[in-house]
Amino acid sequence: MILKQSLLKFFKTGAIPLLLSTIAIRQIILVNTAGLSPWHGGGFGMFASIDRDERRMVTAQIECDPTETLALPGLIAESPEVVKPQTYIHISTFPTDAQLQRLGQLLVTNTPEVKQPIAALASEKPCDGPLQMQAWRLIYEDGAISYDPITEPVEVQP
Amino acid sequence: MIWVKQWNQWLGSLMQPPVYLMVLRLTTILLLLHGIDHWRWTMLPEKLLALAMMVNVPLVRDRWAWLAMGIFLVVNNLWHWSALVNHEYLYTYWGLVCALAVWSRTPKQVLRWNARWIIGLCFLFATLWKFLGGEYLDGSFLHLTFLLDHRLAMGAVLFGGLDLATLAENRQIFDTLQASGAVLEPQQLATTTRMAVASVVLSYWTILIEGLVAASFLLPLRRLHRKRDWLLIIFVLTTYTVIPVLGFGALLMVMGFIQAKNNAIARLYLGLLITMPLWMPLPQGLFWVIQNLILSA
Repeated sequence: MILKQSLLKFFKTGAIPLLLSTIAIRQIILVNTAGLSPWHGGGFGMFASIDRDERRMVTAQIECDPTETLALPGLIAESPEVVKPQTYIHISTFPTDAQLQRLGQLLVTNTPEVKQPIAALASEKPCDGPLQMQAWRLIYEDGAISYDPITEPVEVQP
Repeated sequence: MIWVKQWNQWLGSLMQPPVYLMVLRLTTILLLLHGIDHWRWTMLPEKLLALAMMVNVPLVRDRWAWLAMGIFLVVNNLWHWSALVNHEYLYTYWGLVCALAVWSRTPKQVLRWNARWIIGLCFLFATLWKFLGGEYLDGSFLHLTFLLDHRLAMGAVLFGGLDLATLAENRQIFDTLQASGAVLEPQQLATTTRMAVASVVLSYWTILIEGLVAASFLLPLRRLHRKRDWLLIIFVLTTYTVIPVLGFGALLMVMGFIQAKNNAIARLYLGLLITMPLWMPLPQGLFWVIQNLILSA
């Protein structure tokens, strides 16, 4: 009876504040260890950091002659059929190695409907070496904007 | 003065007991409207249920309906966890609180207690992030946001002395950088010393007011706790007139309303909530009229 009452009291008064705090602490850990954007994930980091998903960038670099670097935001704006904007937003918000691999595979694997840009590039130029995917965050220093890497380059084999 | 009296009487008539029922009704309206500008198909069950609760009044006190609402909100939240922003999480927490309240024998107390803690914790973590990010204490976050975010153009012009053409050029520089992939080539943005100073001042003001809201809702300091409603209202008025975020502001007003112990304060929360679609976009609207119709003429 006492246990039931304690449990009921916990649900009514402590469960939601505890849930909120747990998710917020998890978000802080993920931002600092796995590259999650501070704006997302339930940690109340909105309007606290420049590093929001829309300002992030994922690049695809391939060793051709010369080296080609594709910025995914520009690529998706021009050809949304290559990568769905929703997929890109999710991956740039939380760019784990596995997600960057997944994004890279989308760029190198042709389908009957879509000829992917990296595959198209490799068929036109001599390209050797793997495709490298990397996520970047915007920074603002001394009145100028540039990017800092969030992740190490992730190699994607075609 | 007569219309103020009539307005207060009308608000008072809305607050007839049981007050918790009105909070549930207001919550269903907010649940129906929030996020419709960022539509996802996973939202459909919660929107349909919220609509049913609005149309079929007895459903708003139905325990199973609120349990279903809680489940829909949690599923949607889990599905899109990395894409959702602060107030979308808050809607889920508040939906769960409403579900717990209707299953309880003391719904008003459950709503009141959880509202106070949710507001306090939300502002605590928001304040914490201002220190963790490192871009708030030197003003660089707000400075860049004023330069690039079109929603803050009014602030950039009024506080920083910038003009709309310069702000458009800054956004163009960013768009070009993002499209080019030249990540390691810094691009200079146009700004003013006034903008830099204003950004630092506004950053510290935000930290101060958010920190005070958190402390007043969470800490057992009687004098500060008594001022919690005014601090929250000052935050809402000073923040959302510059950056209108209707969904967040409206939910804060609903939670503020139910936890308020003073009737006059509760009426103020309710009045601010009802008139929010008018006062929140008003400064931005006036700014747009002045910039586009008067100054450009």
